[in-house]
Amino acid sequence: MTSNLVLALTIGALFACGIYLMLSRNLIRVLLGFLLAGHAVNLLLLASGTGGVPPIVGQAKDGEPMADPIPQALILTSIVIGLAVSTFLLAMAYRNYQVTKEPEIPEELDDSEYAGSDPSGGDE
Amino acid sequence: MPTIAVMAALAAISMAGIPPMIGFAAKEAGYAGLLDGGAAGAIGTAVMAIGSALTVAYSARFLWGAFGDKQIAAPAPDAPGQRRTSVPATMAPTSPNPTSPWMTGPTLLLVILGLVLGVWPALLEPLLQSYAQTAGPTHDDAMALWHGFNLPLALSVAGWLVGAAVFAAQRARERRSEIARPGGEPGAGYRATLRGVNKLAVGTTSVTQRGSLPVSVGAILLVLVAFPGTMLIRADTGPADLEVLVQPAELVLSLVIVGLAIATSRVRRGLTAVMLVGGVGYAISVLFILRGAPDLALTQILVETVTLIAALLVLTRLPDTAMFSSHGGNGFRLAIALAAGALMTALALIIPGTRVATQVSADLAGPAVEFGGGKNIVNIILVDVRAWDTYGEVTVLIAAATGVASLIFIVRRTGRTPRRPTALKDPQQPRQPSPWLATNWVPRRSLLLEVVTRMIFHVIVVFSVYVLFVGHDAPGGGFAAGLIVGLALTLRYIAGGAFELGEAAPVDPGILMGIGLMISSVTAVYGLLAGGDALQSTILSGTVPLLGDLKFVTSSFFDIGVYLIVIGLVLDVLRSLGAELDRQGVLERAEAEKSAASGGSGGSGGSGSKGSRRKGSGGSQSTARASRQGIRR
Amino acid sequence: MTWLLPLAVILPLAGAGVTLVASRRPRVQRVISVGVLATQLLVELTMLLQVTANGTMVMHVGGWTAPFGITLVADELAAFMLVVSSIVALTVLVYAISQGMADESETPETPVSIFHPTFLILATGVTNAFLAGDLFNLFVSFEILLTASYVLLTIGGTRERLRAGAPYIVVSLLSSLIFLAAIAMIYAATGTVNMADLSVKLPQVAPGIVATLQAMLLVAFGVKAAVFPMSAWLPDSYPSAPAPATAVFAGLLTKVGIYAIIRVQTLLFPPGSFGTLLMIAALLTMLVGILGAIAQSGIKRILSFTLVSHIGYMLFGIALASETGLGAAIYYVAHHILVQAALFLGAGMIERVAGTTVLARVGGLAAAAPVLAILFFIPAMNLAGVPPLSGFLGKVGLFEAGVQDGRVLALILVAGGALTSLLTLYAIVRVWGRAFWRPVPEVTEPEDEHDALQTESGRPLAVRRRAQQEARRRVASEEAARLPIGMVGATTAIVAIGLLLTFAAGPIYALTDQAAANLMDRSLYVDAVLDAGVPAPPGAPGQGSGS
Repeated sequence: MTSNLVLALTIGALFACGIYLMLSRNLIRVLLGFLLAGHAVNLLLLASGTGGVPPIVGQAKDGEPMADPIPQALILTSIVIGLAVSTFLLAMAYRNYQVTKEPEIPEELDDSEYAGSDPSGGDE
Repeated sequence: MPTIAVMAALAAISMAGIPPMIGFAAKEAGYAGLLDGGAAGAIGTAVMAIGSALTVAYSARFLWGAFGDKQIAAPAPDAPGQRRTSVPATMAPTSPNPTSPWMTGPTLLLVILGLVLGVWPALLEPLLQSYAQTAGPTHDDAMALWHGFNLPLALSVAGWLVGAAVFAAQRARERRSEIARPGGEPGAGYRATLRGVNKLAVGTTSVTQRGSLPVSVGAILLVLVAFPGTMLIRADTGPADLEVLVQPAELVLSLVIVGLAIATSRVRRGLTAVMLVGGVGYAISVLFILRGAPDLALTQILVETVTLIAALLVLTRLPDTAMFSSHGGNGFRLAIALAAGALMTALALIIPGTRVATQVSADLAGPAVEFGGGKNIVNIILVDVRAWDTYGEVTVLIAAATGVASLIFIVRRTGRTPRRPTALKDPQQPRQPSPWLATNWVPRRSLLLEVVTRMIFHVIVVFSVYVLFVGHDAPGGGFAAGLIVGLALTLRYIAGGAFELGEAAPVDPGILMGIGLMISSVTAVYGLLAGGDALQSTILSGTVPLLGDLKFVTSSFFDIGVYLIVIGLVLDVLRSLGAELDRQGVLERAEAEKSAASGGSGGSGGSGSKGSRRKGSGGSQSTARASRQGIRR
Repeated sequence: MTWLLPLAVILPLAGAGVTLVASRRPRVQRVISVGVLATQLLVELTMLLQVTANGTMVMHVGGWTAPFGITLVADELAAFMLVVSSIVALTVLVYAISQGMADESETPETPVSIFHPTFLILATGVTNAFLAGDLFNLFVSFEILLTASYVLLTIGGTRERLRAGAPYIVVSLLSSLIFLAAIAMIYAATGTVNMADLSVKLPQVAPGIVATLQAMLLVAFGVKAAVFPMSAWLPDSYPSAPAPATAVFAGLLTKVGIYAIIRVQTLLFPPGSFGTLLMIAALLTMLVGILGAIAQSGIKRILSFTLVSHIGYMLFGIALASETGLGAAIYYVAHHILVQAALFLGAGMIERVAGTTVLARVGGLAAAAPVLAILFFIPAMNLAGVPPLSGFLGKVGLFEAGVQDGRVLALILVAGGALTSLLTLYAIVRVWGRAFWRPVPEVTEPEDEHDALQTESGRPLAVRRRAQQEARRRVASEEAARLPIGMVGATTAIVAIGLLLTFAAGPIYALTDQAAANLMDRSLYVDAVLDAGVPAPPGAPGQGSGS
């Protein structure tokens, strides 16, 4: 099977942008990053199958290969799942803003702050 | 407390391995077994002997501590800063509380059992032998009270003597020093070990558990880049059959996509970023067309539109600073992101060239027509061949929709959108009723939008039914059809507001999704009941007088279920992120006005939409854009 | 009998549909969800009996034979996992209903109407994950259970839940992306996503490429299973969820990840591959996890860390790739599911009686709630590996397998496992001693486990005193100490079944050994699915069912 250079570079760039955004504490940025990275993975799925004429019986003229329908079905499922998760993330981002008045997820302090360890506790 | 003292003494004796308690017999058997075991056994014997000695020592100490007569000396003052480890002098031996028979009973039972079995260990022999024999040949009479003068006995006696000596030495030391530091040297060692463990625990955890989300995500990405990346490099395979591009249009599209993506990561305003991401989605759908995936293109466009609308509904209520990220460490993030992207590119270049076998879809065309009853192979795959995936996918939709509703609706999660305002005096009814829409509750209206909505709403719905049924032979299907209806509803919501939406779709989205799910489930079960496999489809064909030859595939029922579920999802999104947020915004504003009217400071912050987004009330000559602002009010 | 397989998935899903429609009638919802899960348990028990008697069961959904269509496969491992997870789901549901019913009278904060559909959808996802014979179907199952878990985790939309939910959700999204990318590349390399078919086709691909694909899958599943260094998300998110949600997450979600690792390691990839790496990961997970538990100050956080730590044990068994190792690992998975679920339910009850789970604040519970003390003590000792309970048996099995293996690394892991067990005992006894036996402390510690991590916030003294008096009043009051019968009953059931693992250890260990033996011989699975190992041409409907 052939690999497509332009497609591969697009995938890489999209994924990088998506990951960059996902590494943020701001839920909106995370959501946008997830959308971009999701697009990248969908394109990766596309790259895993041969391209060609739309896989509809009767459309291919002689000799033209049909595109591989299975990755397309997988991508469609992935797109719809992505929609579902995106709407949920949006609701979460809004709700988070509503209760905290801040768009970001606050950071947890480390546990060492409050280990409160008392060695004699083990005697009991 | 004499009874308890006796019981404790017997138990301690058993632990220490002194006859006639069962501990002795057990230890003897243990020594005998270990001595037979070669080098490892010798080590084991030594460890056991030392352990036994120490056990004797602490058993004696336990007995002395609980039951011995002690002189309580005058309290020595604690040295400043020292931990309070000394026995408080005020604790004179008090008369013990009467213990309940519930406590003494079980203890007594166990002690008696230990005594009996210690004297007659042969009672246990059959039970233990049958198990021990699974590991190898055993001695007869392994457990007995008296084996004769042999090495195990000598070891036991040695253990008792050493243990007693340790106890005596410890007591002697304690009598000499003034403060009874519990445990003396061993005690300090134990506590020091515990402190060390705790310090180690705290130290390790503060490094590994940073509590910061980007760090967790970054760690995972590092593993992703390092582990498969290394494997890919070691695989030492180059891209086998590389083509640069198929059509020049692809290059343009790719540049657009990458450009928009990079721009998204740089902008500050949420709205702009969302638009850019939407642009990426649309460009990708064109890419799908170029690569021979019309169904994908259709679905992608529709999904992208719905996502954009949902994002806009939310983002317009958040302040401008919603996207502002002021954190440093950008260099590290950039590095990881680039590494991850490079990995993906490498995978996309190398892996497709490694395929050796033919893909499973090679021979799918014939059976798709024959058994699936349709020409659009992708659709056949979705509703027939891989319908179980689709069944799961709509489940995800339902879960997400209920989640959205749960987060936005604080009190009640279900229910239909109201068709008339129930408790609010706001919004004011516009002066002239709209002849185009069903309701009348948006003050700022766009005539153009209303007329267009009126004209095309029903057309769109009918079109969606067409798309639903034509999907078998041409691009279409349940998802696309459901999304199309969803967009029509969105149109009515934008034109007419929340109550218009309620009028357009007076159903509870949850019920709609539930019905859709049940339809799909029935289709799945029907296949089982009909003696075949789940979700099996049959093709019904027949001739109808006026219409001619008709063909109907039962997998269309499944598609109908999907259709209803997708409509329910979009309706739920509109209801939650649109209508409910409207209502909450109105309530907040009403409260703010009330508190302002009563002389308090002007409003407790209101909804997030105040600030730079508020515009003054416009005239009636507003465009669609102004009308959209109208819903924020 | 292959209709049992899709039925196990359809039941909770149809139940979710009905409870959605009946969203105004909580009583109907409760009856439906309990009924559905109980029926599902019966179905799965039947499945288990069938499979142990007659071998692997396969159903080709839609009549399309593998590798074109999706197959559902139930071998011993899958059936066993299904039964254990259904037991946990059912008992946690009863617990949650009982807690919810009791809470309703106090605050109308928790939305009752979406809990049941979401919980049932979660059960669907877990069930389908265990039955999936197709890699993409496994992905969809993960998405189902993940999305349902997002909703359950953030139920109520309070600040703490959102704060806890966000890391979990973002990390899960990332793992989903990685999994999907792996599937894409696997299809690119082999042209199929059916697992049995992959078992045949992957050996034809260059070994270096196969290793890359395996690495991607292991990373994706490792995140789900909370393997170090990808485990930080778990203790950050699990403690803040409502107790029944945490119990079911702890019991099921990480184990689905472990199950996926077992499946791909034994079916798709060369036996014993990456064994060393997995063993190192197991050791680190064990130790870092338990050290984390010792450093904690809240019961739920401690339990989250022990959860992570003991994943290391299961990974150890998998890494050994021997029949004894795998069998012990499977037994340990079942044991751990039951024990952690029981402990989290117990923690929920502690919270109810004492009002908090911060260790510095609780005390005197043995007197206040003796039943709770027993119900907590048994799984606690079980977790710590005290003989003769199932924790001890599982660990002994793993150690035996490690010694049998003989490699230095394996022996190091045996030592590490023993050390972890000792440290677990230390961590859990601290909880046991402080929460139950010490009298209620006179401290002014903050209420929430998360707040306990912040530096002292300087709340005015009066407020703190009031909080402290309130805490004491709560323990003293009879009202709080009276735990709803449903909560107690559900926890008793889980503890009892956990004890069953101990008393019936013989037959159950035989079962897991059998499962492991079948896993080691992948031709059994492949033949069952592919009908004699050759991909059949796309069959006529009705041709491809049964084994």
